[in-house]
Amino acid sequence: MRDPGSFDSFYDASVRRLIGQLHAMTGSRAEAEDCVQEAYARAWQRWDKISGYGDPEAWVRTVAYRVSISTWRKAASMRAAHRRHGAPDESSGLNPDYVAIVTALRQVTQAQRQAIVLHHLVGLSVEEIARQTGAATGTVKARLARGRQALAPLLDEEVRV
Amino acid sequence: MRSEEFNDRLRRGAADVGGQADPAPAGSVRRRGDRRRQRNMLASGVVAFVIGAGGGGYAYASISTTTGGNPPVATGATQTPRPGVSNGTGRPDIVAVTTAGAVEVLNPVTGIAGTALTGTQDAVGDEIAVSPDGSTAYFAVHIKNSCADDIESVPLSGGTPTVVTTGVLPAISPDGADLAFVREQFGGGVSPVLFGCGKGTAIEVGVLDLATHQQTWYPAPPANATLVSPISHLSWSPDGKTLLVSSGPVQDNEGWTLSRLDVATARYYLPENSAGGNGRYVPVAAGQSAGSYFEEGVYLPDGNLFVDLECCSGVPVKTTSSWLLEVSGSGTVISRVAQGWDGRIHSSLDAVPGWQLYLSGTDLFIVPDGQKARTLSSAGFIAAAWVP
Repeated sequence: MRDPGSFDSFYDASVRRLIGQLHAMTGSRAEAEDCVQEAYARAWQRWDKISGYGDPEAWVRTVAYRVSISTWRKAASMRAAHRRHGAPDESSGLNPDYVAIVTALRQVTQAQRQAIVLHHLVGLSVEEIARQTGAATGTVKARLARGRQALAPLLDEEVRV
Repeated sequence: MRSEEFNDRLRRGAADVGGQADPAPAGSVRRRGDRRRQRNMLASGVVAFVIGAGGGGYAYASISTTTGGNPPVATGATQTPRPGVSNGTGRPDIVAVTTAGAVEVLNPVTGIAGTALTGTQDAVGDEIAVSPDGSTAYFAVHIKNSCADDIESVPLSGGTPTVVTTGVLPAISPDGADLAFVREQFGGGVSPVLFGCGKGTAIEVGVLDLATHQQTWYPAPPANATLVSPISHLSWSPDGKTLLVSSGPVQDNEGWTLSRLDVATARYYLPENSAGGNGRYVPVAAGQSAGSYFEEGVYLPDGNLFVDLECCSGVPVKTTSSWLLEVSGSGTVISRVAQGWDGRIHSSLDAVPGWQLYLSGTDLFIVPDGQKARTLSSAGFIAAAWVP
């Protein structure tokens, strides 16, 4: 039996945090909100089961990330690229330092970006990232190291992370 | 930048993004999940409603969140999920505005209403448009106690309609980035009342950039400001460079035109070849009945036109023949798609690859490419469109 009350509490407590995390992964506010909402809708479909998980927020984050890199999303991004008047100003109201980081993150691979966000923003350990992403711990370590290497010149400063 | 600095900036920035976000209420997300669950059950055959052979694989897109510009305005309209949304039929879905003013998704095989996207008495006008990714429908809603209509959008997966701009006759560009519409047209419908309300100035075609909310206007030329044809339909060319503008009669049987407007260079909506006009009328091909006129037309995916050619006697004009035709840009008839009913208005023409549809009166007809037109539903509609 799905309990709307517990879902609503979970949603209200976590949705903004997840939107922020997905924004760091995708670089787009609209896409982050879109993917996160889609993930929550899927979570509600199975809420009787997911509510029993130790960390339902991790489930939603993983699904939202997968939605963001799905074929449909890529197609939508391609259509957006055809906009004649350019993209909306995604950076308005944001700290320039953060915008620089997100811009730099867009230059590394999706897997590296995911690992960096999960480690440095979400605060997960290498082992936790490995469990959530289904990758080996060695792979996660490599992604973090290569991501850091790639970020250093892009940020025009040394990133000793 | 040190590690702590990097983490701190990343966390504070992400928190800012989350704080500035405007997520949908939890109840809305749950309803979206419920509809998805319902569709999954339908697709898996738990509810046996899939009719006819088909390729399947039709997927609903997810809700897009509006960003930038004015925040969406909730209208309070309710959605009523119902079984019957088509999946796996091998045909694109159809969205339609009923004569009762509801926006509904129709089963393209049975014509039976599936999901009601709005309540009744919400939608007006004879136009509904769907974004090219099939995620969002745009339709006009009368603003109570005013002379104007708003164009609203609603996700086809369900949700609360939001106001996009003031106007009627929405048409979405092929890349989904721009919304063409008409303002200062009072009354809606295929023969809208002009100047019955409001400023009484010229009709304007507008193009709204949905991302930046920047609007470009194509007003009627000054010389024609006192006698302009009401616009009854807008259609984008497949390359997104041209709008096909269907104009109705000014008075009696004058003014029926079909014209192409270059959105990049034109200053006025009428297709004058004079300075600033930058457009061309679509001529009625030789060999057609004298006095024939295009009541309405839309672009086909291949760049040809799908038109309703009517003819005509008397004042006010009375229809004596009606043909749904495929014509070239120069008006040459390529094929006869269907024969219309005398005395009926044929409107809301729409086409996607392999399929055309139109309304004859309030009956909905569909036409598979190269086959006969057939009535899909006589439940009563004032607008319909394919879901790409």
